[in-house]
Amino acid sequence: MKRNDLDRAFPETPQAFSERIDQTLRRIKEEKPVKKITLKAVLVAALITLLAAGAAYALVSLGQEWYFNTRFTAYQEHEPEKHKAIMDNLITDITQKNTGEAAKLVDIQVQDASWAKEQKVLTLSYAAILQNPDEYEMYALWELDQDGSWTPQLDPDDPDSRTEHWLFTHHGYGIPKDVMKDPAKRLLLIDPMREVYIGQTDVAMPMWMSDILTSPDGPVICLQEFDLKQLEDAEIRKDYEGRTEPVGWSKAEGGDYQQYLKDEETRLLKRAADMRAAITANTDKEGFLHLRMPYELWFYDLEKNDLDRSVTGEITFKVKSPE
Amino acid sequence: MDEQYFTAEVKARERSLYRIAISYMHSDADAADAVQDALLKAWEKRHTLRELAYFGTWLTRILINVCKSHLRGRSRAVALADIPDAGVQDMAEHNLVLKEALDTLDLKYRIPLLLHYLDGYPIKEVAHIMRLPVGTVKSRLSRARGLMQDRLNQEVFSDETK
Repeated sequence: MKRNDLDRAFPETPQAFSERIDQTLRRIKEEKPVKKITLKAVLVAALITLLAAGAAYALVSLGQEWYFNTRFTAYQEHEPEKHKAIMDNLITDITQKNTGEAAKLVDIQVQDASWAKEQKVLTLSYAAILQNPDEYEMYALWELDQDGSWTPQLDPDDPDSRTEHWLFTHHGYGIPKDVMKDPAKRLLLIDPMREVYIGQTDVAMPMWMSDILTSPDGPVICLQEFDLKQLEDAEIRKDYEGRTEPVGWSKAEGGDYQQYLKDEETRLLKRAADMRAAITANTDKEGFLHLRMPYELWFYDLEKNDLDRSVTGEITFKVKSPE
Repeated sequence: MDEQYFTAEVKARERSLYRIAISYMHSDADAADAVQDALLKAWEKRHTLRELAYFGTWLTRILINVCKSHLRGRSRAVALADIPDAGVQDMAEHNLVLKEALDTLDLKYRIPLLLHYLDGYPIKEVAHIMRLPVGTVKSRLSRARGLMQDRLNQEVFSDETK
């Protein structure tokens, strides 16, 4: 008997199980990012402009060319046309400014942008650098407890649960002061809030994916991709054509499936109309679309091993719409 | 990681996800619930995956956490033995012997066995998934092999562990 015979100890994968996976994957595709943005305080009183218009950027070596060719190579391998379009449309000369209380501590900039009209995709990369690296060390908030095992109280039934926060750094994964480069410094954790808003409206661009990491040399790098097909009614309708009710659909939980589809389509069509209107209203005479991304910067108490307080900031910038 | 990549990776691991989930949950419906929750959680936390090469390790870890969480929420009054096994009626007698042998293994032996021998994860990655030292995984695999051989009374595993 071969080791793979062990698989026969399990029944065939039930069709309903496969259908449930398909249903879940479709649900993922339909949902927009769910994180709600709550600005904790209004603090625009002391805006500090750190970058003048048209500032060149120093860290493009960790921009999209690096990202899509080194860290995330799926487009290069599986969607070469999309990869080429992103690379061909890259621009680094981006007018921007970083404001808010957090801007006193961190310099966050849009490194490069790519608006690939034919592929209906907009990509942005950011880099965040400490203003005072002698005093602070900074990582992404996502790198705290990324395994999901932290709990407020120890769970006796779960040997993996822990009450101490752990941080992922290039020195390992553990209690932050044990894995920092220099535990004598203060720790900051940056959280780009994952939504990019159009102008000063509360209408967000259609985020498709984002990624964040701390590079070995210190800058925190963030990448965002926007699916511009979500701006087009025809693309939205096409996505809802010919769908049949999945096996395992629960009417008790989800109601009538066709009604569910209709409601979702209506919601997305309205969202698309709102986005188009906001884009039109916030595109200037030169064809630049004005955008803003709020972010939050957390102070970390190394003695208590816990988040302490946070300050917020916002980066505003503009990208040229393709003709 | 985009939705297309995520979807392709999940579909490629469907069988493995089923084996892990059914090992913990003992019913198709509960296994499907656990996998659904694990996929939603994984998608929500996709930014925490630092290396795409470890997608399988990462997703399996999340699924195991979700299964444990679901089991904790289950009524303690229902003994696992009282829950009908999934798909048993469809299995050949030979396979039932295998299933019974596997079912006698405690989860701490069964899961590393599945991950290492069926899914092909190196011992180091099994250790990462299960949050165990490498030495512990090796000893559990050794114990699992011994138990399975006892039950089946024949050579099931001929290869040395990696």
